[in-house]
Amino acid sequence: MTESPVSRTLMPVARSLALLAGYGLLGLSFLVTAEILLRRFLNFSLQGGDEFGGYVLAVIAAFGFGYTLLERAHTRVEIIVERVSPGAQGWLNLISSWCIAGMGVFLAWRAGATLLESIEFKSLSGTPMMTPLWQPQSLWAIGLVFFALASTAVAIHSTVLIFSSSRRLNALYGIKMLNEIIEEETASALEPREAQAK
Amino acid sequence: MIGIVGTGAGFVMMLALMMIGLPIAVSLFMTAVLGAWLYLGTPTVLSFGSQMWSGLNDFILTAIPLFVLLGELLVRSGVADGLYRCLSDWMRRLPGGLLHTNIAASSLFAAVSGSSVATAATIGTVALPVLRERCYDDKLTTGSIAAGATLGILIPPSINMIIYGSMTNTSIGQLFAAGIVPGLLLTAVFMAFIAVVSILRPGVAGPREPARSFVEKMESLIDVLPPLMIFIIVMGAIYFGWATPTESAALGVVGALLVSILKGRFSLQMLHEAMLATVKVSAMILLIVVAAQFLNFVIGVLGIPQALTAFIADLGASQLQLILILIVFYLILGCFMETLSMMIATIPVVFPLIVHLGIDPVWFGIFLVLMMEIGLITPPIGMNLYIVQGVRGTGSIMEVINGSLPFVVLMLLFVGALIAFPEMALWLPRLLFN
Repeated sequence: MTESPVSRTLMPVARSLALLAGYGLLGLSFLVTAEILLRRFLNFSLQGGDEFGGYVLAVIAAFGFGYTLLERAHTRVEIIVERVSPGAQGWLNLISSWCIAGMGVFLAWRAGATLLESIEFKSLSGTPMMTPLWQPQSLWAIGLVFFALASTAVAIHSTVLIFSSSRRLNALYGIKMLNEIIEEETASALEPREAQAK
Repeated sequence: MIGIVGTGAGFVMMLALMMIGLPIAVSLFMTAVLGAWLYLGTPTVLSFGSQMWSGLNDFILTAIPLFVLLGELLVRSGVADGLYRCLSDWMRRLPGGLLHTNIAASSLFAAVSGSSVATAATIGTVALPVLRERCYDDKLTTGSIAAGATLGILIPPSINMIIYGSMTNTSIGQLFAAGIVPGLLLTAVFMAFIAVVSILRPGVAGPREPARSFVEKMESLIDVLPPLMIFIIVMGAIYFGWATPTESAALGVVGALLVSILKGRFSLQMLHEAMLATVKVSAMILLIVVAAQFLNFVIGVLGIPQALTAFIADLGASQLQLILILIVFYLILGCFMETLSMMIATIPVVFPLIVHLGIDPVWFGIFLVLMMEIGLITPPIGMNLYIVQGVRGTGSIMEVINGSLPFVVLMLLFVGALIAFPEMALWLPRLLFN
């Protein structure tokens, strides 16, 4: 599979953000498991798992949007796109890339505004922990800014490509082909079997 | 406010944006922003930031990445092969032989992995070479894998149910419980169908396999034990009231991690791959959810639910008529929309009608999931069909489509049964929660 220059440049950052979010999720799992066991067997209530869980979700979304974009995994309907000529397909992919960039920039802008409001009004979470909201919201906003940057970079590169090679544009930023999807889905589940066979 | 015509125009515009290949999330988002801007003014559009924060900062939805991670870890521990081997040892003597293994392995694997597409790809890769070698009928083989893989979203834990529950304020524990009986029944219906066809047309199944000894069978059970244990722990914690669905998902993640360590599959690389896959799937779903939450909000403020319920009330539609209309609606929509997106995009509009006519939200959740299962194996967008065909690599897609057709008919009949006997879905949650 050919990799786009945008993906080559930004993927290391995107992967790191996604992994950070993944570790957050793993940490949450241990925290909540400890909570359940302590509550159940020692009648001791550890608190904050649910609040932390909400922040983890917001961060997974924000950190993951950009990674998912570069992996071309945001769901698109292929029914028309795959039936038109490569030239027309290029234009559809271009429109799509600019629309998602528009959404990305809007998300980052509004998240930034929400963060600034929380800082200005010193907003606290409505929980016993009284977390200052700017703390989780900064991470969230940083993720969305990265999504905005990545989606804009893809849109700009698509615009350059539409004038040089629609085919390349479609290969780099079009909807994933079926065999690519199957390869991904089975690689994870069946890798161990092949290793065993050796 | 906005009338039926405006609502229809908005809906058509949303579909049109999806059709020209915009990401589903972007289509929902643009429709919501346009509606908010035209009818409610800029301040509503600008309120999106705080809306998005409160929508995402939600412990109920945190169950989604947790269940995805649980599935990714188990799948990477190599449970697929073991599952298939064990089930084939136990079921090979039934009429239809390994075809039953397809159904049973798919439903178990899908219950664990939570993704129909991943199930179709994985079980397809494990099963197709074996079945081809033994000269099983192509249509029945591919049909049973494509259809079997849809069972996962009905059998808990189901990400579709978590999203439905979170968007409609329906108890996820009750939804999970409601899926168990229909899930098992539908599995049984599929297997009965295979048995009947195999008896009527002996050529469809391959040669009769020699039976395995009892000891061998018991040994192979060890492979099924880890996913089964985790399923029992996760579900048990919910039903004994030890944990909420999200909390028990976290418990399941720790369990799956232990399984991968015990099976000697754990490594830092494996963990990272599982995390990346989890983040990718979750972010894909969450971008759609974020857009749908805003659309939901805009639709609510615009009074669209009231307009629609008034419209339906004018028509004097009964519960049954509405459900029949919705079956046709979802069958058509399922022809060109990916199923999870279809569910998320239609809930804001459809759910108020359901409530208005007094239809049980838990029952409707199960109905909706069944309609989505059907969508997964109806052409032209039935993802499972293409995946199975892709894994097979030879022959025509028409064989897969024709092979799945009987299962589509069975599922439609099953929906009819669910309408006639709502207790199929509602009995277990009532028993457990009242």
